[in-house]
Amino acid sequence: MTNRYEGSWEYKLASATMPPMDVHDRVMESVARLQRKEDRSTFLSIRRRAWMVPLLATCILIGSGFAYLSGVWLKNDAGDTVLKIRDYNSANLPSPVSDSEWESYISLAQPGETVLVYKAEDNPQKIIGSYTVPSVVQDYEDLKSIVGENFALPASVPEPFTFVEGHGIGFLHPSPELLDDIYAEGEASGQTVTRVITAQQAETAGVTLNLELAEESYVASILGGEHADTWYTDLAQHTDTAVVSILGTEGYIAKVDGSQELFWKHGHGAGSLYYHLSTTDLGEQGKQALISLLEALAAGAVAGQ
Amino acid sequence: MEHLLEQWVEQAKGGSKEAFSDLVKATQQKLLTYAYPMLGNVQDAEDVVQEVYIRMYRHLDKYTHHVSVMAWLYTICYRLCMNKLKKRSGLMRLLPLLHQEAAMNERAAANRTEPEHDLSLLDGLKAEERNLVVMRIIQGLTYEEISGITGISVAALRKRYERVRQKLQMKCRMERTEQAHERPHHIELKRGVATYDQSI
Repeated sequence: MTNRYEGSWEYKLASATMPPMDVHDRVMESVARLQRKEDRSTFLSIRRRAWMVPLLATCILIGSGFAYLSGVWLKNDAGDTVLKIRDYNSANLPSPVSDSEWESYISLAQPGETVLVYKAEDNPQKIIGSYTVPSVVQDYEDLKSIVGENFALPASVPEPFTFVEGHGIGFLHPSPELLDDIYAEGEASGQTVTRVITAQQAETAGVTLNLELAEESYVASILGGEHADTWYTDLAQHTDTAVVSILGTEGYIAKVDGSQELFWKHGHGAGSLYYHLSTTDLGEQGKQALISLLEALAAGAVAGQ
Repeated sequence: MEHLLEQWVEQAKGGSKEAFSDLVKATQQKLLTYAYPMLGNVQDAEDVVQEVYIRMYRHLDKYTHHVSVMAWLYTICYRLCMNKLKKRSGLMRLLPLLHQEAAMNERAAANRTEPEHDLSLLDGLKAEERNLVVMRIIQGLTYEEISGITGISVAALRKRYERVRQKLQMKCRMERTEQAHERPHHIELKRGVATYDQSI
């Protein structure tokens, strides 16, 4: 029995036999090569730059995403993970330069200048720290004009907070030759090497606001979130931890080293924003104030999506 | 199936190579049987499909659930195939020849046989026409699905398909007529292939 379709060009094509083809092994080999390459470039990236956020003493690193360790996964209301809080591990260690050391190195530079620090000792990841000394402003309008619209700052200072001061967070891209030079000098001498760069303009990577409420200090930093998908920290130092939903996305609150801190991120990939807020108020009032401050700061980003 | 694919994508996003491997195994034949008739030879088809998965892997974090996993893969594959065809557009007139030559080279190299097929019908079609026929007839996709992949409206696809259908019907009729008149030539050609097969 034949059907009316048989013999037609459609039938010929639909019943055409294909040669045996298989790309599975080739693909998986390529993926493995790609992974090794990414691991190398992540290592280089870590070695060559660390984002030092003033007063927060945090180091945001690009997460490899392939090693599962203990931590907190924060999701948006669509169920997508937007931010991971994870314990330090052998691939992601704390910054080798302490806060007090940074203070002394920063004193070497003027606002607008960038300090690069390579500590040869106790630095297995060969991290070169970078910190651009900010120009601090006391007027909120000045701050908005400095950082532009990239961080969706609200039109006015969130109430009932008082604006104390603020600054843009600069990030310089030093030349690979300079970084290699610093690295080579540090390795040869075994000492800490510092460089102050004056000529180059740093990219504005974020903004920091210092605020006050009821004589308690509040610091809010907003950074471009494209590469900030994982925050590595010492989770053993965190107490009273909680995951809270803010503007449809989970945030993480914890008491860390004498302050109460809130971590939150809007979106992922290009255009996303990473928020890190802290206060000296360790009570419930401080916690609620952090949440309301974040809601005010992120409202513009959420509305603009 | 789509649910399973999405599950594998989510697991791959989290770093599971096993999930990515399962996803490749489950979807590669659909892509290969799209790329092969599009490009006309095994090597190009495999190269393109490999590139599809590498691009997918690189951009896993950008995958949203607005489109199905299969539509996403088809879209990447479609663009890569079209780019490849455009690059060799100057050679399009020689495609039937290249087709046979490539098949013979592959046999000699890999000592494997290519099955006889009727894909030569597609020779001479423009890249977009070829794509439409392959997606409709070989892949069995709906106009809506093809529209989602190519960005061409459903109405335009329907009109275009009707024109190609007439073109291919005409081609089939002409081939049947030629076969009736040139039977001895075809026998000789088949003998040539048989001799070649024995020598490898």
